[in-house]
Amino acid sequence: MPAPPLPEAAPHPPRALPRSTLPDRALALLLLLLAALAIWSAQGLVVPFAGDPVGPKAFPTVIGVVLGLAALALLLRPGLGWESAGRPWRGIVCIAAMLAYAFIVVPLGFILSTALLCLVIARAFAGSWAQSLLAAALTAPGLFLLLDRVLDLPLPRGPLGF
Amino acid sequence: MDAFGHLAGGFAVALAPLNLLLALCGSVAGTAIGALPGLGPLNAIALLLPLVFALKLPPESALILLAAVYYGSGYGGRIAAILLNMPGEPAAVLTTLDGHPMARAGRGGAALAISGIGSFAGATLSVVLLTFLSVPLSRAAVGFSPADYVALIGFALSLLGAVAAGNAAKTWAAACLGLLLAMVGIDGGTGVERFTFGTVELLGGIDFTVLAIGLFAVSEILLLLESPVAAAASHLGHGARLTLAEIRRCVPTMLRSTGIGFVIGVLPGAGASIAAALSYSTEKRLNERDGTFGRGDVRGVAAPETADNAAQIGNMVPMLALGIPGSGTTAVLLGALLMYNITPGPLLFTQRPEVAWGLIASMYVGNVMLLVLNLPLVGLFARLLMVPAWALYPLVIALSFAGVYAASNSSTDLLLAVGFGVAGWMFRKLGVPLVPIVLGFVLGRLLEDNLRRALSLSDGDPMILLASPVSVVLWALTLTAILWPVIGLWKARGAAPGAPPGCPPG
Amino acid sequence: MLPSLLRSACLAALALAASIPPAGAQGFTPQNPECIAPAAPGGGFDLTCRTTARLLNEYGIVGPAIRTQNMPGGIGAVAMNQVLAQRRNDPNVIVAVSTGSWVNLAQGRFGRWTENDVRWVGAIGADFGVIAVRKDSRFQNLSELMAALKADPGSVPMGAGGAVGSQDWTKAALVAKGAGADPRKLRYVPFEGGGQAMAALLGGHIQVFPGDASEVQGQLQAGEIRLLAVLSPNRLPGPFADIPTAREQGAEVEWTIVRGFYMPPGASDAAYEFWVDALRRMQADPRYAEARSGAGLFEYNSLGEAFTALAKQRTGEYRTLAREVGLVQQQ
Repeated sequence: MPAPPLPEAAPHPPRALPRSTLPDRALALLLLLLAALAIWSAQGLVVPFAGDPVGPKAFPTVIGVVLGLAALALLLRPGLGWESAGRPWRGIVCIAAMLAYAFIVVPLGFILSTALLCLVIARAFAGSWAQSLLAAALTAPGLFLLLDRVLDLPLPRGPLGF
Repeated sequence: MDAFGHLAGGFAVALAPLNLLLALCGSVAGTAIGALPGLGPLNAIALLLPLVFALKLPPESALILLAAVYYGSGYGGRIAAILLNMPGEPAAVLTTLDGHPMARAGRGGAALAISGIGSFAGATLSVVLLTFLSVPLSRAAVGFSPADYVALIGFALSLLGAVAAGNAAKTWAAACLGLLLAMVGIDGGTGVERFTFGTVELLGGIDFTVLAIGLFAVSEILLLLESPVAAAASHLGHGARLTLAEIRRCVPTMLRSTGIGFVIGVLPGAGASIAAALSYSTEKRLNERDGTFGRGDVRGVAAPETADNAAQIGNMVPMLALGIPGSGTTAVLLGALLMYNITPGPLLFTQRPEVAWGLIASMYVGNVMLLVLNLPLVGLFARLLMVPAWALYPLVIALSFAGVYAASNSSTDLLLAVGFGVAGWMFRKLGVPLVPIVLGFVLGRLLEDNLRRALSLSDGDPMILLASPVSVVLWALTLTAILWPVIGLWKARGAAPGAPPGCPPG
Repeated sequence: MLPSLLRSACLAALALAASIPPAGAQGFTPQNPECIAPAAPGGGFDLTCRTTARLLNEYGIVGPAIRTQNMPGGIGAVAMNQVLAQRRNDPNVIVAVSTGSWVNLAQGRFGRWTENDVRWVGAIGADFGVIAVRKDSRFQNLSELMAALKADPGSVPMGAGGAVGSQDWTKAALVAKGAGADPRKLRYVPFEGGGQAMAALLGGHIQVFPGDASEVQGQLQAGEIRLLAVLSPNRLPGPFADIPTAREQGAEVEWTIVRGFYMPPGASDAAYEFWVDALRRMQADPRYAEARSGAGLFEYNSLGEAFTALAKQRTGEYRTLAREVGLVQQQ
C-alpha cells in the first residue's frame, strides 16, 4: 500500500527565532488570567431563581478551572520557540485597515470602504500600485453586485448612493 | 410500505423536465454559495423562497430546487477550506486538516476530487437509507434523550485529542477557549446573560461564521504576509492526480463515515459538525499507525466530507417523516411547505406522496448531477491558487467581511472577526491548534445545554446519564477512546519512535 | 477569473446607474424601502418580513421592491438598538416585531430602550399558544394538568423552544400561575427551537410542550399529540376547531403571539400613515387570507393607534409578571 508522497511544502517556512520558552510562558500567563476572569465573572452571575439544578455558573467555572490547569501545565513545561519570519509590519497594517473598515463601512458605503481595504491588502501582498488599484476597483463593485444585487443581501450604500 | 413503487412514482416527478432543470439550477447555486466564505445555503434559500412562490412553482418543484441548494452547498463548502485553509462551515474545519496540506503539496485538485467523491458517496448512500428506513429511524431518533446527547458529545470530545496533534496542554486550553466562547449570550436554563459585558450585540452569542472567518481566514492572511514568499503564494507545482488506488483506499472510510454521518444527522439535536468530527477522529484512530493523518492523507479529506453530506441527508429524515426540523436549513424547507399550505408532519408521505417521494427521487438525481458537475471543475477550482496574491487575498477578505456584515448588519461582528483573526495569528505562531477551539465552540453549547436538560429532567440525579443502553455504550466508547493512547503507548513502548503522542481531553 | 471580474464590474456599473432613485417625489413615496428582520434567514421574523414585502409589492401597494435585511440578536434587541442609534428618522424602514420581543423588552433586555421609543405600525396576524401532550399522556384536559401542577409544580417535566423568561416559558408560567402554583418551581427544560422540543415530547422526555399552534399542526393532524387547550380568546379554525380554549376550561390563560412591525420614532406622520395604510390594504386584499395561513398565522387585526396601545399594554403586563417571578429586580 504505497503511501502518497508527503512533501512538507510549507508556504510559511517556520524560522524558529531565539529558541526561548518566553512566548509559551507569556501565553500561559495570559490563559491563566483568562481562566481567572472566566471563573470570577461566572461567580458574579445573579440567578433570579433556580431554573435548573446545575445553573449558569457551573459550566464556566469548571471550564475555567480546566483552562487554568492547562495553563499551569504549560507554564511548568513550556515549549520552545515562536514561529516567525520577523516581518509582522504588513500584517499589523492590515489589521489596522480591517479594524478601520468596521468603522467606515456604514458611513462611507460598501464600495468605497471595500475598495480602500482591498487596496491596502493588495499592497501588503506586494502588488504594485497599478495592480492594487485594479484589484480594488474590480473587487469592491463586483462584490456589491454579487451580494447586494444577485443575492439580495443589502449592503450599506454610503452618501453617494452606493 | 412498498418503497420501490413509491420511489418509481417519485422518479416520475423528479425526471420531469422542469424538475430536472430546477435540480440542476439548485445544485449549481448551492455549490456556488457554499464555496463563498461567509455565505451559506440559508442565504440562497431565503432569496429563492419568495421567488419560487412568485413563479407559482408547484410545491414539489419548489422543494426540489431548495433542497438541491441545501445539499449542493455541501459540495461547495470544501473549496476554500482545502485550497486556502479557510473553512466556512463547521464540518469544513475538519476538511482543512488534511485537505490543506494536500493543497500545499500541490495536490489541491486531488483533494477536491476525493472530497467530491466522498460527498457523493455519503449523500447517495444516505438517500438509499432514507428511502427505506426513514420512518423507523425517525421513531428511534426521537427516543434519543438529552442524556444520550450528553454521552454522544462526550464521546466526540474525547476524540478531540486525536484530531489535534501537538502539545496536550495547548490542545486542552484551545478546547476550553472554544467552550467559553460558546457560553457568550443568554443562558437558556435561567435567562441570565453570560460574558456579554453589557453589550446588546453579544446577547445572541457569537456566530460560527464570525469565529471561523476570524480564526482561519484573517489569521491565514496575517501569517502569509509574514512569510517572505507571500507575494507568490502559489507557485506550487502540480502534484499527482487522484489515483484509483487512493479512491479504493478511501472506500472503507467512506462507508464508515456515511454510517456515522447519517445516524448523527438523523438525530434532531445533533449536526453535521459532530458527524464530521467523529468520522475524522475515528478514521485517524483506526489508521493511527500510518501516521499520515493531518499531513495530507486522502482519507482525512474523505471522512469529514462524506460524513458532512451524509448528515445533511440524514437531517431530512425527521423533517420528512415527522415534520420536525433538525437544523436551521431544514426548518426553512419546512417553512416552504407551509407556504403552500401543506402541513409538514407524519402524514406528508400519505397525503402528498408526490412531494415527499419526488424530493427523495430528486436527491438521487441531484447528487449525480453534482458529481458530474464537480469533478471536471476540480482542475479549474485548483487553479484558483494561480491567481496572484494581490488579487486573490483582497477578494477573499472582502468577500468574507461582506458576508459577515450582511449576515448581521452589524459592525460589531466585523470587529469580532478581526479580533479572532489576531488571536488566531498569535495562536498559530505559538503552536496552539485552532481546530479544538472551533470544536469546543460547536460542541460546548450542545454539551452544556443537554447536560442541564438531562439533570433538570432527573431533578439533579446524575444517574440519568447512565439510564439508557445507548448512553452506557457511548460512555464505554468514550472511556476506550481516552484509554486507547495509554494502551497504545504501553504496547508500543520502545517500538515505533515518533508515534503520535496521546493527548486525550475528556 | 479576471475577465469575469471585469464583466462583473461593468455589470455593477450598469446596475448602479439604473438604481439611482428618481428625485423629487411628492408626498410620501418610500424609496429603497427596507424591512428589518431581527433574525437569521429562515427565522420567524424573516418570514414576517419576506411575506409582507412580497405581498405589498405583489398587490401593488408599495411600488419599489421592499428588501429584507437580517439583523439577528436578542429577539429584536440588536435591531432596535441599530435603528434607534443610526436610522432614527428613516421613513423607509419597517422592523418586524413579535410578542417575544415585548417579553424581552419588558425584562429590560433591549438596552436602554422601551416600548415608548418607537412608532408601532401594526400587526399582520397572530399565532396562539397551545398546551400539547403526547397522545398517550395521563393528562386528558387542562384541569388535570393544572391540578398536577398545583400539587407539585416540579412533577411535570415540560419544555419548549425558548429560555427561561422567553415567550415559550411565559406560557408555562401563566398556566402554573393560573393553577395557583409557583412558576419558579416548574420543571421547565429549554430546547433549541420548537422542533427539538416536539421531538422530546414525542420521545417521552418531556410530558408537556407549551408550543405555538402553527408548529404543532402536523403532529395534531397525524394524531401523535393531543392539545389540552389553545390559549386564544376564542376557538381556532381548521384542525383546531375541536380544541377548547383555556378559558372554556376555567383558566384565565391567554397567549397571543402577535407579529407586526414598528418604525423609527423620527419617521414623519405622512410616512407612518403610509405604512399603516399599506398594512391595512394588504390585509383587506381577498388573496391575503391564504398567504397569511401560509406564514402560519391566524387573523389578527390591530393597526396604528390600536397596535400602539396593544404594544404598551402587553409590555406593561409582561413587566409586572417578570417582577412577580423575580426575573427582573424590583424597582
